[in-house]
Amino acid sequence: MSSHDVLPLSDEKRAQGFGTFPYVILRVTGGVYMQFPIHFYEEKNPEKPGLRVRVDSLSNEKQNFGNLFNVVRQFHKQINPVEAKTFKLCLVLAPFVAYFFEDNAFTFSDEIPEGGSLMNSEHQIIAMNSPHF
Amino acid sequence: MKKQVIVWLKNGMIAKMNASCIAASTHQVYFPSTEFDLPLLIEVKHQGLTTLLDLSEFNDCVVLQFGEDRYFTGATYCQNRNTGSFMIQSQAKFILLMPLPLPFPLEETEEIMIKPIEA
Repeated sequence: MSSHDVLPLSDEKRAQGFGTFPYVILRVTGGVYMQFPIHFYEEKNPEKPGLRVRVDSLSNEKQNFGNLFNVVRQFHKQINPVEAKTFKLCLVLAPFVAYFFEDNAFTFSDEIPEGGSLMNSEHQIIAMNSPHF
Repeated sequence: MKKQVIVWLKNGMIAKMNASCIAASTHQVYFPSTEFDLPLLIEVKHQGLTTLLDLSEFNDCVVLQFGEDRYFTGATYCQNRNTGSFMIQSQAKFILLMPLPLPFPLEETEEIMIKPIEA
């Protein structure tokens, strides 16, 4: 497979939550990204790959999304325990709504990360040169 | 024109954005969504008590309102689902329209800071 080939997200990966908003993108290095789907759940932990957020009601979208800054900040602390090297994170909420997280600040962007090599947390490539959703 | 807008949250986090900026020099303002992107900052320049925002057919957004001291005073959602008119009357001096969904609780909003965009 060459670096110009296009590999879209498979139905199998989509069933696991990849490519569904909201999700977090971690920039591993230039052109290499890791996606963490965000799963909201009420009682039963979905046991799907990514970040799982327990909420009072799945139907209360405004309240559930309203806690995502905290979710990303906690996740940032988990993956960056040492200050020496920090990974850049991006919270992606919609095709034109994203917030890049750095130095305890979220910066809005109407352009979301796309293309490159997209991996899951097990370093398996799940998409190449295609949108991340 | 765009300005850098920084929203301070009570938990110490901040949300930064380069927002389109318009001045409300009259009591009623209308801004077609075809001409203005979100986020959009409205700075009230007139001396009246209230401003009427005509958000008819505007993109879905949350309307954050701040007083003269730039502290948060309230918010409302703009979610147009038909072609009818939709207006908001506000006493705020600074009004920030942000795209949905909003990733922080409205009640965590504390203060707004507005700066020119650095070259």
